Amino acid sequence: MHKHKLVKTDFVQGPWIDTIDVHNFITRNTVAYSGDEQFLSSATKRTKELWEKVLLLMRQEQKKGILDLDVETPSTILSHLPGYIDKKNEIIVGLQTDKPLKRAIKPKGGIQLVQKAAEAYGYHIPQHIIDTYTNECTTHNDAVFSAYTPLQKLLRSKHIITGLPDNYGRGRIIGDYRRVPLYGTKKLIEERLKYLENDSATLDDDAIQLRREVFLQIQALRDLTTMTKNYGCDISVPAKDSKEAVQWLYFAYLAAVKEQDGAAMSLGRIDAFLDCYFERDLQSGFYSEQEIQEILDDFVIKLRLVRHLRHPEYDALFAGDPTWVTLVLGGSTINNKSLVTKTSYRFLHTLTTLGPAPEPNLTVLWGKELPLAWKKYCAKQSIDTSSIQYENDDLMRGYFDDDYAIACCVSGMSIGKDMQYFGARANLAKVLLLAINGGKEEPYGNNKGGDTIVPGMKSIKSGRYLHYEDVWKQFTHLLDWLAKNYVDTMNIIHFMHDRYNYESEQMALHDITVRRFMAFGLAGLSVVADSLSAIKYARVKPVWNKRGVAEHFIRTGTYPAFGNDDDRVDSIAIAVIHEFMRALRRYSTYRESIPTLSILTITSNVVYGSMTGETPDGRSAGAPFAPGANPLHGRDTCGAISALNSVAKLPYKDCLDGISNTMSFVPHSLGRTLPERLNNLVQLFDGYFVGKHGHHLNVNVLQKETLREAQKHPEQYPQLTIRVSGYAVLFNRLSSEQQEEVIARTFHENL
Amino acid sequence: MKIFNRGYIHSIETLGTLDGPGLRTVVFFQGCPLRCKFCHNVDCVAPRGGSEYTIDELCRRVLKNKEYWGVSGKDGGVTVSGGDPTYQPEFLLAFIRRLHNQNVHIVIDTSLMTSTKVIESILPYVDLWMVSVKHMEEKKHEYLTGFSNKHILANIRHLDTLLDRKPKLRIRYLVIPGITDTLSALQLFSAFVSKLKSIESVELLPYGTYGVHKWIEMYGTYPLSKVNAATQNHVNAVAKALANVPFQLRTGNT
Repeated sequence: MHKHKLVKTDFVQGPWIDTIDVHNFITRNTVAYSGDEQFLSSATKRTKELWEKVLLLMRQEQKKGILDLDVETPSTILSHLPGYIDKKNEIIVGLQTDKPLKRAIKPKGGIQLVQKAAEAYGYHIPQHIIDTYTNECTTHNDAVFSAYTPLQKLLRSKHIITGLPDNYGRGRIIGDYRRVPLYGTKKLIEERLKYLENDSATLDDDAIQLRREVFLQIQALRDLTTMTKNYGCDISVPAKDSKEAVQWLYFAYLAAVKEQDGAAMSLGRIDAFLDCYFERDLQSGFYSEQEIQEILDDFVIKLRLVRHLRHPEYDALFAGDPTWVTLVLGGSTINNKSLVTKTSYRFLHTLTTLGPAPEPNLTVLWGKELPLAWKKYCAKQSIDTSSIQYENDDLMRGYFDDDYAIACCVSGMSIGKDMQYFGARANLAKVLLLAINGGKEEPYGNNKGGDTIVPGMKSIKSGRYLHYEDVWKQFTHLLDWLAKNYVDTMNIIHFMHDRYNYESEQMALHDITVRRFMAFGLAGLSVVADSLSAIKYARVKPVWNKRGVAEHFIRTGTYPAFGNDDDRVDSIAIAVIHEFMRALRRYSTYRESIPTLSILTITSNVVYGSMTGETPDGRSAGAPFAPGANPLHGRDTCGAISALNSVAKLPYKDCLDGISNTMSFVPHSLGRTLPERLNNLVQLFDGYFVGKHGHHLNVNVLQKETLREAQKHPEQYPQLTIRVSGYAVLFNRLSSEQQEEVIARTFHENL
Repeated sequence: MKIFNRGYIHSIETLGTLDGPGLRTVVFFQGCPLRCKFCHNVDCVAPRGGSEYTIDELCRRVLKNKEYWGVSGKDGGVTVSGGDPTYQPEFLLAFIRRLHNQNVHIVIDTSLMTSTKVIESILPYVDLWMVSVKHMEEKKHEYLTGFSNKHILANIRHLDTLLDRKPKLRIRYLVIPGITDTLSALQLFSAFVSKLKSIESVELLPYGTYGVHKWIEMYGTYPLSKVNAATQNHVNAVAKALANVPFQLRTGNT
């Protein structure tokens, strides 16, 4: 690599010079690219060798579950000394611990969970650490459970509100990691010190909390600076060139994943930002295209190495060890100018230089005005790797302006200006069954049901057949009851998370005053819509058991199912969302956060289904739900476009935390030849996003047989990546149950 | 109400990528005059069945997908297939006339086992004719489909004349190993096609066994059970034999 000579900062100046305003920097300096992928360089020998080393470690990790665990050292920004894969051959440096893939403990979330997770892999946490986090520190998990009411605990244990971040880090906060290379930490610290120097006229609870948080943020920035000194870098000053820009940015992210183990620790939006450095250095001849790609490849290798320690129940919900290093690419400005740069290509190109992989979670922002060459390249990489998800930029810009990113799978946020309180999801299929059973739990598995969850409700038992109006009335009544308890639960979780497991480094990379969302979620939408449709358009007779709850439903006649572009049932799905969101808005939220809703399940659709009894649509007890907002497998009978159209009708304004849709195509179904497939996939995206205003689409292009082969010979498919609800996963890291569910899903084949 | 105000539609495939250019909504009409032994939609053959639609309903249904047909609206559209769509000629005419007037690109997938009157009636509303030639030898055609090919071949020549050198005719040829890929059959096919003037392309389709389960469900048996599916090698060999055909040859090779 190059010897450093000082490169003059010849960026176009603007307000970003004086105030912290990355968006302004990007606006002034971005060079949009409308050409094709021909300029890209292939992987260098160095990159290949380094990646081979990593692959070897990853194979060992897959065999053992985790490669190694440091049980002695609770992870903080400064806890571990520098770590390397192969020091002399690395361009971008930094690991979470002193060795690649060695995990660390983060007991501030909950010491029992750390113990449980360690023990699942044969490790033991030393007694002094257990004592410290039991007797001297309050963990987030302990704090939450000290405040939960009996009803909240009941809703949790009965799987009605599920997957809550009360036993793992909430995540979903995106630091504006770009601020570090652009300004250096010194300036960021000064800005915050200035804030603390101000006397406040009213020093109420909120103001006190904020002052305390800003203080913690300053400390985190100082720790970050020290951490990088250990690596021989000085990030107190701005990055001088392309390599430093990437390195500084990565350090800022690395500090976040050392401090926190939130479920989704997303990276944000960096393609246009980094491209400003790259383009300048390419122009001056300081770096070549090959060197730029090599820097990015090295960076992406690091992102693929991020790991957290998870306990087995967590894995059941979020299979395959995901970290959601979500990275959005492309998109446009609010004036419809493309933000696609060569660096957008370079990131997608890492799927070729390093091969397919689940992380970073590459998310293409789709819009009407983007260059056709870019759209085709995206389609090509999707067809080759099944590693990309797509989200509607034209839709989201209306809510988050044009400098937003995605946390986790589908959660939009303005970078450095918004944060969210993540709230997993409620199982609405169970709530529908509660409505039918008059507030009593339905039977499933070995559970006979009949426990009263909501006292004082009337049973719907009159008459032979279920009446739609009766069921709908009880159901919406319960949605309100659920909303109240869900909001209360979230308020407790995030009150405690802010106090006992605060994300000081990530929040240091936000504006001091932020907009907060409270992100609720629902699971089982298509099951609920189909069940209500069955009650309305067919005839459904419950068979009551001795405990007075429906153990079975007898259906006569047919009903329109969600996923066929049929308004009779699609309107029911819309009404369910609308009613639930309306109910959520009625209750006051912690720190005046704005309630939002997602229709997203990750892989938990399998677990949630297994905890849910038979439903009136004909789904048997324990059977999986469809993922996210998808139609239930096999019920969409008019082809992929109809299924897309049904999902696209769901109103984004009521689901501002995202509407996840996952589709699998066999290659042939997209056309006979590769050029046809590229055109058709681009047209499909344009139709879904631009024409129908759909929000999100995961795309898999593979043969079912490939998945069957990978089940039989996992060693031959080490990098086989597939998209599940909102993220990508190595197929081999799914449980066999989850693998079966993926294979059973509708593959659009079109013969 | 006149009878042709209602049509019998077997099913609709909204992600059609194999039956005409671009993304297409394929409407499978119920009913077919032929009785092909290799039929992969044997459940479409009977004249009644499927769902009943009015013209309004069917147009509304397919137009829900128009956003997927490209900026011009012509990178995709509607393909009428079946069965054979000409088996319900009045309903077909009313349906495609309405769509064509709304600027929808129309492809028809037919065997042309119909009358010249029907062909002439729908002619103004069809953007691309995909006509499948089942076999060039009359006896073999009869064996495969139950009918002589005389009428069909005459219809193709007639349509070719009507199209007046506008390239709107795609001849499809199903490669059935041992049956349609004999050199004698291919020579006849080559000679026949080469004389046509309004050809867009000639498309070779590999015979597949994916419709067999429908036969088993409906009849318990499949007439061509001894014939293997065609591979890309079969298709390539046929393409080679047809190399002197003066038109674009589609083989599905990527």
